[in-house]
Amino acid sequence: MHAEIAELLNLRDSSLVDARIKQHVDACPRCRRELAHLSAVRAGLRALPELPAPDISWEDVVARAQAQGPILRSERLDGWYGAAVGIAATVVMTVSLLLLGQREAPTQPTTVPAAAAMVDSTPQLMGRSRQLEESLRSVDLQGRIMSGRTASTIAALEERIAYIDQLLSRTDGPPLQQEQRRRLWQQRVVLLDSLVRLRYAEAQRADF
Amino acid sequence: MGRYSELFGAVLLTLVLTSSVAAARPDDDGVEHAMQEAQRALESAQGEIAEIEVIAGPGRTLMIGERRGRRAMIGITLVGEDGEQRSDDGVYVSAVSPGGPADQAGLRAGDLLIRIDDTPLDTRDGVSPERALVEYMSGVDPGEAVELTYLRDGDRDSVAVQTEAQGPQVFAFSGGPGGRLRFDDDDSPMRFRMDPDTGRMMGVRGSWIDMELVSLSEGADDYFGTDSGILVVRAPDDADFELKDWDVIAEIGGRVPRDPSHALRILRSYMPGETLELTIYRNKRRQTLEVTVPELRRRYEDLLIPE
Repeated sequence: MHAEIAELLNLRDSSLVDARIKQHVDACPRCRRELAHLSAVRAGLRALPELPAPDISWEDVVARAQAQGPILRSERLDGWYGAAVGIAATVVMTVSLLLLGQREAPTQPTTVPAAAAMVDSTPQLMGRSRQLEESLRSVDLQGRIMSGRTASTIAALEERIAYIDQLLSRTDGPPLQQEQRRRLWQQRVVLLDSLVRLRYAEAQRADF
Repeated sequence: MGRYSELFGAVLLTLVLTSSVAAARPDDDGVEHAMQEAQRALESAQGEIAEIEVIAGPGRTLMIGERRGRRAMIGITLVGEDGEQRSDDGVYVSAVSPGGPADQAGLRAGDLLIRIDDTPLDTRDGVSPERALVEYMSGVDPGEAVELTYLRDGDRDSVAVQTEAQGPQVFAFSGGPGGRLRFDDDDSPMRFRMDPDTGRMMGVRGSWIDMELVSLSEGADDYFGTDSGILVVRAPDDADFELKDWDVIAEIGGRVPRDPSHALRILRSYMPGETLELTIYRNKRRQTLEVTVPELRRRYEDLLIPE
């Protein structure tokens, strides 16, 4: 039996893995190939250049994004790589739709660049939060087979957001200062954004 | 009978194919990328929240906190302050916790709560609507349902909300040399606590991350004995969980999971060493499994990230 993806990811990330699994992977060409692929994906993502944020306001970002159509994936996926990903995605989607003829592609949700959330005021962050909650409701994962790892990460994000909500609503103990509240809202927006992206990526994933 | 066998065989074959194809390739790059982003966001939030809570004092020592939620919660943010909507006629919902009771009941940010059960939520005798709601909730036990009446775009409506206990929160980090503690209960459901006898850290890595799950839908009753619950497409390798492929999880500790992530959320609420009851359908028969969440003892130094 070959190593599970979760085990390969643990191996790749130098996390705890059963010694027997490691022995198997060392000896198994298929698992080694899969591990090399996972490592290459991570290396490729890390090798992408960091682009400095343009000196524009959030409203400008939204306006530009709306003008270009909804964007979810990183803007760094540009050039030939972006084109290749686009073509691959189109082929996968086409084949999936031809095979299944049922599952509709989810509408791309609105997301928030983390950098934008860092400088926003509390009312702005609350607005973003509300926007993201709307986006979240538009992603339906009903009927999707989900790995425990993904489900666990979604659960962790939800738990952490729920905890922030508890802190924001706490009435016992010393009241939160204005800046503390802003930072909590900021973290809420960042986590909510991650949750939207993950659920959307999961909804886009082809089961077949 | 033959037709049912054929149908069942076809369904089983489809599911097996789905499972094996999914198992043969990794989550696609999009999911992997989103997972990595989520991981970073969680780690960042962990530090921020801890700092805001002033748990990380200047003592530069490893601090472990474990909180078991005892209060009932409905999963909304309600306190209004500068720049936030406030009203003397009720409580504005500033945000709704995703996957929480209010979210499941259909409440939205911007709704104005005007009544909880028979108690109006307006300013009375100098008591603010927010305070009135908090005081009412202090008398509600986790699991009890409350009826919330609210205004949305001027329309009045009511909804029953099944409250939940606040989830357990565990914080573990070091502000001292050697870096912060890796808090990776997100990539895998790792939990920590201090062993009171030895002072050593105990961690548990939940063995359910290698499961694959899907919600059952109508029509599954003929095959599984129920048409609601979470189907275990692939059971965890860890025998401690006693689950098998094609079991259907109906309840976890008396709670009904709505979807796979909710099932994991319930499972994650159990600490190492705790016992939980899993109510399942196996071969169409309802039965209960007693599962003890396994512990994995590790020294905390193992978990430190070098600076």
